[in-house]
Amino acid sequence: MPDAAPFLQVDGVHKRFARVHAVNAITLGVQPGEIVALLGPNGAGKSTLLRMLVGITRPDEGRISWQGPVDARGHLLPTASGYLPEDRGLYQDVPLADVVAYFGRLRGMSRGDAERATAAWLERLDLGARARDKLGALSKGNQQKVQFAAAVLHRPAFAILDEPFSGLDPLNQELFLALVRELRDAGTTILFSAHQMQLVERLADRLFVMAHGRELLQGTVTGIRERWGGGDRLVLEVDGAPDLAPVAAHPAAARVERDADGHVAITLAPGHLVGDLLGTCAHHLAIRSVRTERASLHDVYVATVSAARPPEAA
Amino acid sequence: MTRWAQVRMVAQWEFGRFVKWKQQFIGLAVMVAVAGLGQGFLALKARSTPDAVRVVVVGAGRLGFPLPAVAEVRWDTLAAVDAAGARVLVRDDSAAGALLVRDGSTSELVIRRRGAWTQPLEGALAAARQQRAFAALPITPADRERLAGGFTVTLTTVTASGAQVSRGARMVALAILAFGLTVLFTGFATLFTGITGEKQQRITEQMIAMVSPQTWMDGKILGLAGAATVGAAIFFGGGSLVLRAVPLFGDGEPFALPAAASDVPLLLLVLLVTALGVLMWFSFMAAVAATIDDPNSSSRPILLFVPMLPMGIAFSLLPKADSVLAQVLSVVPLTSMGMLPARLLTTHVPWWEVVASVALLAGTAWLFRRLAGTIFATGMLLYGKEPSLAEVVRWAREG
Repeated sequence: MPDAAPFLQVDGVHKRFARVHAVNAITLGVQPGEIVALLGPNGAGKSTLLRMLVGITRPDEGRISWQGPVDARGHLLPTASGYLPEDRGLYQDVPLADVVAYFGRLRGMSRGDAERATAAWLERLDLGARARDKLGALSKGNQQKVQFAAAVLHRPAFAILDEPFSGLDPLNQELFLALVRELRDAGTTILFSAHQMQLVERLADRLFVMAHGRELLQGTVTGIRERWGGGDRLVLEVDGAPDLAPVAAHPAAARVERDADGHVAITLAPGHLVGDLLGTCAHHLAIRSVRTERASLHDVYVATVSAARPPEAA
Repeated sequence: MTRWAQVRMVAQWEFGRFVKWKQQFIGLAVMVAVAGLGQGFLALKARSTPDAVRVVVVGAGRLGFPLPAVAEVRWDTLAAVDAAGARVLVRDDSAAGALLVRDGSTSELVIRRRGAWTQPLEGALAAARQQRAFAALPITPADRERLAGGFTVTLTTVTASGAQVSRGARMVALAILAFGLTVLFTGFATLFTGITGEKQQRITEQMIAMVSPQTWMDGKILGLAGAATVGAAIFFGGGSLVLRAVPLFGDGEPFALPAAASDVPLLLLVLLVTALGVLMWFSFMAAVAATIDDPNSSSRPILLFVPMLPMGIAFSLLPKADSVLAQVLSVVPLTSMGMLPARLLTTHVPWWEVVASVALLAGTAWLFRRLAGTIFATGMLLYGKEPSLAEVVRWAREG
């Protein structure tokens, strides 16, 4: 995929609001057929970037280009794009099937196609029996499902999903994982933002992490783990309340923690192996069991974003 | 998909959201029922009129003419009482009144309280006396008929082209204007709800990802103006139905709006000016609504009443439709919707005035819709804050 022309190319994009530099020199490419996760803490600039991609706002500087069909202003045509915004909103006083079909028609579907696709999506989302219910009667999670259907009803070539898992219970999160993968398998390229790292890790081909409007890192999940280095953990079940200072002083130990159950978790420093530590641990601790854990995306994310410094005020 | 196809789709959606046929016809049925009940009550009241009141007459012979028939009055000339006795009968409510005749032209009516019959009684006596005097004149029956004949006046008004504007055409034109004003003032609330409500429900961001802000605003204006037109049509249609049907129960004449075929061009012009005026004011109100963040806390909904001022000025000049001020206001877009039709119906209007008025009205409607789209495009993501007038002006300039 790296050699293919990107479906979306963002080059040096900036967006400023009054005193806030919301998006600062962002460069990002999304290849056709990829699922890319846009990550970052609240206020990182993710939604601002996504709104520029959709064409709701314009970049102050930089360029956004698409491989797909665009209008005179260079925005991807609504027929080729799908958008699930961060700010959820639907017509509360209208039957949900009507709303979904209306959105499909606005994105270029014929009335018949929109109605057929709506019925199929609502069945898939376990909402078929409630097609004539007004949206206001649905739970927040079900409204989120309707919103998702409205965003991708027309099988867009490129879908932008701003926090698609928000408000969903674990079962529906699993359903959404499956639906997004189905979309990708059917040819839709997907860029999404989320805060649920365990879901991102399972879904995304690549990650783009930003904070304070700037890029922190990007790459595949595996690549980021390797590049970031370390982070793997050695978890020991020990007897008594040993002194952990000698272990913490070892150069291979980046962080040593002890939980209420008596487990000692040692996070490895970059470039070190579990074996480097085992001898020291065996010497100072009464070990009952040993296991190792790969660094989770959550760990990588927290460590990376925590280390990011806000830009100095202009 | 073309932009206008999207405009049509948005307009149809908005129309469908705000035209609730069931509620509209329930409202119509309630209106007809209330009017029917009212008319029924009046008919019942008319038919259940109490027996004629007793009026005792003292000195009927001094009148010199027979007592005339008066609605709700039963003359009693046989009471055989004098004036004092008659007063006692009235005081004791044995009679509603006592007519104490002094001579052939003066009398005193004694009553305890006024009734619907008191005034007609005086008129009937005067008419009876005049008729008696008229009959006594030494003239032929032909002269008598000629003297009793009335004078007929038929009112017609001449337009610029010299054609006559019939009373029916004037009524139709005024009905069109009244219809337009009803559309305006009943539609503004819907327009506000339709625009600010969508922003409150956070729907706008999704919409603008699919259609341009101008497309969305154009669809809103057309769809909501259409919805208001249907509401007003049902109201007017229902009203006409009531006016036509209800008199039939009361033996009255059904209401009708006759208009001659020669009036059609004038009526079409009035229709055009009214439609453009409605679109212009809807566009203006859409621009105002686009600046509102929360209608519950905003002071801007008071601007709903802005169109009343120019309309009020225009209508206050109706009696002076020939004045220079009226001519100026018939060209100014904010007042032309009311002033131009008024002048067309009552005075000579040069062709250039009509052309200028229609062109300026259409141009201003177009400008306001552009302004509404521009303000909305810039301000739609301003949650929790309303733009100041200076910001709105800046957006309009930049847009």
